Amino acid sequence: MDYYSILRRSWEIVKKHKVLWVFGLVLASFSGSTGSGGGNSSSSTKDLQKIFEQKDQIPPQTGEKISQILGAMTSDPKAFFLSLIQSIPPAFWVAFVVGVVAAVLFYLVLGIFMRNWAKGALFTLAAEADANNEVSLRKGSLQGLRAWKRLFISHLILGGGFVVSFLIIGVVIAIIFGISSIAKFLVLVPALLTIFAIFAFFIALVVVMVWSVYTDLSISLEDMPWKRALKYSWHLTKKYFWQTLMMGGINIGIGCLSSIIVLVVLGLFIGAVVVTGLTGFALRNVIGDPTTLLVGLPLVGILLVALLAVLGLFGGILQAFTSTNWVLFYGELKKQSEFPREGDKGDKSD
Amino acid sequence: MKYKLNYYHFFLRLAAWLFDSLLLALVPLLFILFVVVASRESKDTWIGILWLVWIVLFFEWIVVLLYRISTYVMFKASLGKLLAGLEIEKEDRSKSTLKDALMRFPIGYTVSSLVWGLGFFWILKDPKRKGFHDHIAGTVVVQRGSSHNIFVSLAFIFTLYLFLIFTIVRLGNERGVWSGLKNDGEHLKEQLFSLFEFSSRSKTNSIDRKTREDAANKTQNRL
Repeated sequence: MDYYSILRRSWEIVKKHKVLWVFGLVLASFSGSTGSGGGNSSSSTKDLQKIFEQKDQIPPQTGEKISQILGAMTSDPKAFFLSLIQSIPPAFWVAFVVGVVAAVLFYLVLGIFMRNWAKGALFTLAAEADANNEVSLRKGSLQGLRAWKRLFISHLILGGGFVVSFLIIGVVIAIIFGISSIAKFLVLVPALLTIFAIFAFFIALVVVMVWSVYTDLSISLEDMPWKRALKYSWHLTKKYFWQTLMMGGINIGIGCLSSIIVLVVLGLFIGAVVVTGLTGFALRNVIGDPTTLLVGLPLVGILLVALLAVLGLFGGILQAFTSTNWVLFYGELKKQSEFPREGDKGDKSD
Repeated sequence: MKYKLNYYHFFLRLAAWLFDSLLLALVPLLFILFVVVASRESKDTWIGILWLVWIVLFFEWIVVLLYRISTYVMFKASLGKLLAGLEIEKEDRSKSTLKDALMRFPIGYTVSSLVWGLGFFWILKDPKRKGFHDHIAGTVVVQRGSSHNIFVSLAFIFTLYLFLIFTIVRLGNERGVWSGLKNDGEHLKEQLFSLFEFSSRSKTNSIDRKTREDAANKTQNRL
């Protein structure tokens, strides 16, 4: 397998057909996790709690002084907020919950559709581009529409199956731990089982990832129904596991390299901001205070906008490139004489 | 049909979009007016603000989505586009369906809005004046009628906005809504600062006290 020629051809395709960048952008935008931004909220709540607790340490004469100066409003912010919360009508809370649920559901459904639609479109267009056919947003969009539902179902089954299997294993180990606490001679068994389960988890994860790549390619490029695609891609996974792992490793390596590039760009941006700040500070001493804001802030704003655009585009190009790698890799495998065709032994249609 | 690369077409669509956005933004603005008129004390205003946040975050996007989809399916254009003499047509001249509307609006607009609205600015470059959302949905925006009405309508809605904002500010001043909110904010700020100040003073006092205690203990030990 000539991985270098795959990468070179893939780069040519992505450079030439900028339509792939658009679907790459969509896939990159909707594939990442939302991340947990909630870590800070608990610490800020604790700080606020400390403030309210320390309020009790304020000597009584200070409290009186505050209420005299400030007049109508209660001297206790905690009491004010509590009374405000109590006066909020129940209809607001119902509307709030309904609004949150509706928004979450909408963005969840939109995210699922966009991700699978863009994936189907990207794989199909990459194959079309490789065959020197015309590629367009409209063509990709229609292909994505054909494939998105099957892609979603297949991922649901693969991911769901993986999670359920390991939950069952976890429960079994927990039961054995429970039994071993009674029968001491069994104490080694759950420990060994746990170690085995951890290894099995990582191996199963890699296998499922390889399986899902072939499923995506089978659905997008061969237009297979999801059940047949799952069976067919399982055979491909068994047959070409190590080669696929190599291709996956290359893609991950490209991803790591791009992360380094992103860090360098961020470093340059931070450097530019510092230089802008120092320039503004120097000008402030010469000309006056407003110059710092007039010169520095718009410049930082423009730099930030440009940086976000560049990073966004870069992410889209990278996603298009790695997806095209998979399509060309699959194409190379298909050229091999021992490549299993649909309808071969073990690929009975359902 | 031959298309001239016409920048006027882009600004016409921009004007239509601006009109639609201002029309839809009337909902929260009218709600602010209602809050200002109906508030009897500052707590009512704060509750009104909570409802306004809810409208902006959770209600407005549903209104926008329903407006875009329903006007496209029924009239082949939003109100702004109709006033601008524009119409959205399928390139294959087939009838617009709900599926086309869903592809153009939530999906197509999402794609066009990536990278600072690159898909919308693409209209300037595209020979058929299509944005990404038009390419995805297979549509094209054509000019059918006069575009003068959009400018008159924009002038009207700007005037309406000025009138509403002026009324809200004036009524708010008369009813003491803004001064009440300002006072509440300043009181909260002062009390929080005084609590911070007391907590840092009490920390300094406790450090001084500890230093004095340590010094007293050392002296005692020496004695």
